[in-house]
Amino acid sequence: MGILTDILLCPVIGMILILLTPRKSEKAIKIISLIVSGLSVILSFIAYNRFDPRNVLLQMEERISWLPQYGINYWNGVDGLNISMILLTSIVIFTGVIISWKLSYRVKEFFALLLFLVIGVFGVFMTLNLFFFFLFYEVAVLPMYLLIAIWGSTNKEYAALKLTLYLLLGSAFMFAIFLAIYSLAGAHTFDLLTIKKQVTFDPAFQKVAYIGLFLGCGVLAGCWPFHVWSPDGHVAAPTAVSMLHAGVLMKLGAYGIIRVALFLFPEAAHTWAPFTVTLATFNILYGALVATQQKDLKYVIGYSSVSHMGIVLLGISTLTVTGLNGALFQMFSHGIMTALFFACVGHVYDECHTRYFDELGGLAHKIPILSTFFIIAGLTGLGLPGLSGFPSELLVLIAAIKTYPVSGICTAIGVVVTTFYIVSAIMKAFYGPLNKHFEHIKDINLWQYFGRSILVAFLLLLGVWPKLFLDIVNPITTYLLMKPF
Amino acid sequence: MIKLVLPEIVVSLMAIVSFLFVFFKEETGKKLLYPTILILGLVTLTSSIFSLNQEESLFFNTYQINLFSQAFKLILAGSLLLVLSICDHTESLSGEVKPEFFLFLSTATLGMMMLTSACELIGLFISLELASISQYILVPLRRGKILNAEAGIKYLLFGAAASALTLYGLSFIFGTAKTLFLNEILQNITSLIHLPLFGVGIFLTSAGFLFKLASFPFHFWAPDVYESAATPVTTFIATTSKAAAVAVLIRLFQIFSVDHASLTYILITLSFVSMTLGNLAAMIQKDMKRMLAYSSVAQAGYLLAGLLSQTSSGFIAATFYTIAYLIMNFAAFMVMARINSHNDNPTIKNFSGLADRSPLLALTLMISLLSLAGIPPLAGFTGKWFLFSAAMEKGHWILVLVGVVNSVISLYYYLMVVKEAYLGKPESGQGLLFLGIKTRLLSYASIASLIILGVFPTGLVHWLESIIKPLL
Repeated sequence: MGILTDILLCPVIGMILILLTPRKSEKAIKIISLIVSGLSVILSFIAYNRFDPRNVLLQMEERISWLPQYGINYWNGVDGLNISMILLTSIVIFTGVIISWKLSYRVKEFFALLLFLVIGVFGVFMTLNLFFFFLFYEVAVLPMYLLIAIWGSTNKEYAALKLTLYLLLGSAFMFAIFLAIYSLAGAHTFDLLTIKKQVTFDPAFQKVAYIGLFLGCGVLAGCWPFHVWSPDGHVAAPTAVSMLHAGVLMKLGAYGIIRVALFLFPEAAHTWAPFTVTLATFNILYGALVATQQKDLKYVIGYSSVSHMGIVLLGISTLTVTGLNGALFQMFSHGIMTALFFACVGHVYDECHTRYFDELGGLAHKIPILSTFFIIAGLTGLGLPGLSGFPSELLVLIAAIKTYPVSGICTAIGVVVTTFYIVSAIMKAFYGPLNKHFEHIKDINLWQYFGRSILVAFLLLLGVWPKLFLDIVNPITTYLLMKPF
Repeated sequence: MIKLVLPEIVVSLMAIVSFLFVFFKEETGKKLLYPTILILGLVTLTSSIFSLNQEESLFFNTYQINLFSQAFKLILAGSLLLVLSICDHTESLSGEVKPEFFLFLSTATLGMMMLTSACELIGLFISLELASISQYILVPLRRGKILNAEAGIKYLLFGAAASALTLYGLSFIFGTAKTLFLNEILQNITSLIHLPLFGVGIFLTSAGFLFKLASFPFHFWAPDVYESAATPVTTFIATTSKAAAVAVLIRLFQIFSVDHASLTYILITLSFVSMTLGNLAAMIQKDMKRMLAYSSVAQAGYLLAGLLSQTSSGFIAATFYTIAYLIMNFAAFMVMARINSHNDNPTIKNFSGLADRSPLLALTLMISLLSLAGIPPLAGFTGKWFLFSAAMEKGHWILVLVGVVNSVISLYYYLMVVKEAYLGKPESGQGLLFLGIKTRLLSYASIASLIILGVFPTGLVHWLESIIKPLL
């Protein structure tokens, strides 16, 4: 098979090896996870290198006939929409494994589940068959329940159940619409490209299917008002899972909207655009405003994720090349940034056993390196030029102001509010007088430093050289929005 | 001739051998009975495999041996063997009733095997009664429980009522079609289908089998019977008996492969109510067996969604799901039988800390419950996908939407058990559970088969196509 399957096989093999490793060999389990996730980073970079951005057609296709009579095929391929997401996933999981190095409770199950989740994420980003899309989607969501309920903190069981039920309810809508595309639309195949080529959808069906998919996938993307699972889930999850979850998993939702809903039903997307833009604007403003009121550092980041994912949804909803480029850029940038955020908050919690602003303060004196990392993530979040958040938010803002000025202005206000809550979070947690209980806390070691540096490197690289990313996505977004299929 | 009805002969032999054990001394009986029965169970399975490709009509065309019937006999034999494999661990069956227990288990299976081959109305009814009456007797065979007598009577009364409805329905069919043979009815179906009495006949006939399937409104017995019967009996009712019901319903609905709007509407309603009512009621259960009983009502709803499409893909989907359902339900009951050593019914709380006591059992439980909830990449998911796509092909999209929303609701109560198993702490005094080689093997086999059927369904689907397509 091709390189995409190889990438997918990394976590599969890793998980099997971990299951075969004795429970007591914790070190071996961690090393296996590190090796397979490292390997997936290397393979992702090889795939990225082979990728020809000028070619808008699918590349590196792999196809196995699975159940041809039901139109189910294992069919992978990449274009500008997903190659970056595959890269993002492998980077986040690699750093996630490094950051989870200290974990000592039920190590075997944790890493096995983590890799299982990654199988799902890679699968969704690669597949072009709706059956496998759904299958991998669920594989990505379900381990979250156990990962949060067992290794989480702060109301973990409630958060885990809420998250799982919300996400699966979203996927239930997706499931019904996939089946409708298969049967009612007369496609009788789940292959996305074949459906696109062969079927002319009834406009009324398109409208229902688009909004169903937008909301179904939108639940995972944290779309307002279905975002309520997300802050609770992020806060309760253990560090690596929060990183993966906010960093990668939420992107699955947005990716699903672009890959399936927008791809199959572009006309309906236009019809619903005013509505989806409104939802996205609510996302941005609501997330940002609620974040200002939080007392728990992790909740601030949880709500900031809701707000930032709103920018992604807004970018998609503008239905312009600039907006869609911005949305994809923001997906990547937010993935890396939020992973860094959670990696930092995780260390704060491990050392201080609290995340409340009332108890924190002055941490920069004791853990200067970690504070720097947090501040870099924060500055990316508020869209400081030179970091990757700037070009992505700017692109969406430009597109929004052009197409939906009111939303554009609201988004701009949202960015200001973001600046407020991020700066005040940095102030409250890392500056000011130090709580005397935290005299003993230690900064991150070299290994942990290495993990976080990788993330910062990407934030800086894309911040100063956004062309690197835009060159990949621009051809496909132009093709997607301009060319009548 | 012998090869044609080999599975039936072996099961009858099992019944006779069990009966002979009544004359043994209890001590000798205890030592020899179980291994003998287990070996006979294995022989039944092997003989079903041997007679798989037979094709013949017996007893003046009243008994049809074809790939469809033989395949279902294989499923039934496999399921019987699985049930037998968990019969040793239970203390719920007292020594004195053990031979009878196996006797009625065998006769019930015999009745079900006959059901799959019966192609004539009287034969169909006799087989149904043989299977049903044996099961009525099995339910109260439990030591030291007062509840079970009540459940036994409830089961008997409901069952008798369902049987009466079936018989009544059969009389309508006979009255309108003037023949007892299913294939003759099929030949004249285009003229018969417009007769209202014939439609009523088919619906009433289905009642007896919908009762076995525990579908609404014939489900009232399920919670009490599941709760009161000994775990192996519940397992038998929840697995083997369902497979037989599906086999007969496929044959009955296949007669209706000509569209019949009112029957379809009735079935849609039954499916809709079954899944919703089953899931909502299951959410509030504390007793694991009652919860699984209500969940089986919901599962009957999903199965009906496939069956009512009356297409080959719907029947294939229903059969696929039945096989998956057998395995996942068996796995759940096996775990329950293993932790339930004091002849009590386990409540959800009893699963607390199972992951600490036995990671393998906890994993088996989790996989089986998640598969029941329809979570990929497990067999339950793939089965549901087939069921719902068959329903969707016929345009029943509201039913599909209700079905998938129901799957999410069901996930809630399944997850509650998983949560107890993985997050709860074992009660004091509950140490590690040591599993015998048989339980280990069964656990591994269940997990592996649920994953394999989920990820690689192709082989089974092809096989089922070769069985179902010739029927239509």
